[in-house]
Amino acid sequence: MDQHANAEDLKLVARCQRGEVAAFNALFARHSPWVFNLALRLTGNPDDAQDMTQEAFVRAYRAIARYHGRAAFTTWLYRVAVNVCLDEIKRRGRRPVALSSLLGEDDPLPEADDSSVNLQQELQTRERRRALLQAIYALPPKHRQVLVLYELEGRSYEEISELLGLNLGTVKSRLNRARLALRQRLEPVKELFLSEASQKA
Amino acid sequence: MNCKSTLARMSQYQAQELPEAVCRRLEEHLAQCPRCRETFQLAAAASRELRLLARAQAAPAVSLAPPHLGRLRRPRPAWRWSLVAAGAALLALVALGLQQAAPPPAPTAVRPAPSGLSLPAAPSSSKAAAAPPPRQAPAGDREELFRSRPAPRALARPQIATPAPPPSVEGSTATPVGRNEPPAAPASPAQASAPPVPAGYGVTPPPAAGPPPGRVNAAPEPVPTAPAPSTVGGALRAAPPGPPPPAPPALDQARPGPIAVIKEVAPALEWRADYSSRAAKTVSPLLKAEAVRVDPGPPPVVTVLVTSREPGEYAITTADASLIVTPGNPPGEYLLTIPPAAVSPLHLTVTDRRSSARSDYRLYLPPSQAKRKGNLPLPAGTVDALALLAERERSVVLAPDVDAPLAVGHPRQVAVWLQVAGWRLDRRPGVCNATPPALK
Repeated sequence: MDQHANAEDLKLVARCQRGEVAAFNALFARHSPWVFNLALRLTGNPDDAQDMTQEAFVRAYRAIARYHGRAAFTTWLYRVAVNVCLDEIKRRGRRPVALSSLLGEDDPLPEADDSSVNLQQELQTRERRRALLQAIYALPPKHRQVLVLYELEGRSYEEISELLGLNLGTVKSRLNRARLALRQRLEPVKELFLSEASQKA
Repeated sequence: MNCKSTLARMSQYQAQELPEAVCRRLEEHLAQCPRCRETFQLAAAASRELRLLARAQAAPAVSLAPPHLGRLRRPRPAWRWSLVAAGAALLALVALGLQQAAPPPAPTAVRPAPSGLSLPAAPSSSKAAAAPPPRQAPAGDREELFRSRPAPRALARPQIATPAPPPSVEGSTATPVGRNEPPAAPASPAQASAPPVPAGYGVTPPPAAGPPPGRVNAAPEPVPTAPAPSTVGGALRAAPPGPPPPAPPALDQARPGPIAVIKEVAPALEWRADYSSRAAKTVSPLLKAEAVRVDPGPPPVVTVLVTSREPGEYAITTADASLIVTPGNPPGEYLLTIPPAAVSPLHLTVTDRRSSARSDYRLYLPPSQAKRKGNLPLPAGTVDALALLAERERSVVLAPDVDAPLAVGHPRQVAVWLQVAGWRLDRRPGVCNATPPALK
């Protein structure tokens, strides 16, 4: 988050703290995409992710009077969003995962005669990713959360530790177990990955 | 290195967290063992694919509409709290003026100080004698007065002579006085000639009056010396020594934010504050929760300003914590900051807002703790009280078991600020309840 964007956020937050709903809507427009992405990654369900995005912003709106700008607004909102997602995941339990949304499979495949894109390669990539996400969302929630935050969200151990309220060692061991479990779940489809690895090699 | 240890360290190897020597041995094993090599290739490919996937997932395809905020209260600007506080102060002044205009009631008996308590001398006996006694309100009036009081921000209150130490006190020099016990004989002429016990709990005595009845050493008005101690993430932070800082801000000013509506769900039975948090708060009927503020956080904090109406022990119960305030006799005013997810261990800080009144505060620990540590006498009335507590105890472990009661008493009936703050990981896995440092 660059400083310019943060300064813009702070201006909007100040206006929002004065009660301007338009400023809040502007904040929503700026940040709802990545909040939705975060929720989608954590839940795997676009409907739930949409609800959680709304809930996260409602919660942020309620608490925005207490945001003093000590951390970047995105950091603060990220924490709110993660907390909302975890609460809702716990409340709603396991829900069906819509992998097509996660994979962007709603996008049309390239045309067969398009020489710039290898259709076969595209299909293989989609299949590989589908298998990968299926394995991830079959993991127990505590392993999945750590894995998603680390691998997909790119958060560090320390950040995950803070976000989830866990010790650093617990985060590492959970991540270790999550990777191990992921490997075991990918065993039946390892050819998808190994063939790709051999091609790259 | 064998296959088992290789597989166990594979994740760390991928994250490049292994020492050089271990890496070398692991690589040697991978070069020799095709099965482990295949597993490693699979893990590496999965990790690589995840990174690519993270990059590929950009903005969502769905278009999101902003939430409907119509039902929500707008965030209030901070200056409104100042206006509210000023209005409340004005109302209090008007009420005081009306009270002063009313004729004083007939004097009643005063309970004396127990023998063994060393009460400091009165500031001026003639002043005390000339002081008009506070109005003795009937029970109904008392109730009405209590309910109609705008906000208990002024900590001065009528005082009486006899302290009522908490029942759990061991070795206290004060004579315990039961709630229904008749008043004991006067202990000193000064106390015997003191004005009657006021009935309007929480009502600030007239400013021109001398010391409060039965409280020969009390300052005429509360002189706030130290702001309420701040706790960050449960850590105790001592107030710096030096000249007395300005008074702590009124509750409404201290934390801008919405005040939850307290609903009296069962009159005379309980006070319940319903708010967005899952942990509803129930306050004993003998307490009046003037304001409940919930900061959903992070970190979540519930702030309650509670005024007790009668001496005794009152439980303030949250979903996870049970605190007992023993305010003595007459009641005191407390600012309790209680995280909804209860804390263990608790960090307790006690400060006195009256520097001029020398009094023996004691921090009463639960019996199990007190046996080992003994109660902590606090030379309150100075700004160093908190620092001293912090220096001596760093953090006072009150009760590892959250159900164990915490009792705080003060024999001299001077209001104290009590803050309880701390953190315990919530039972819900994966929910952060600690004050976080800024993320990258």
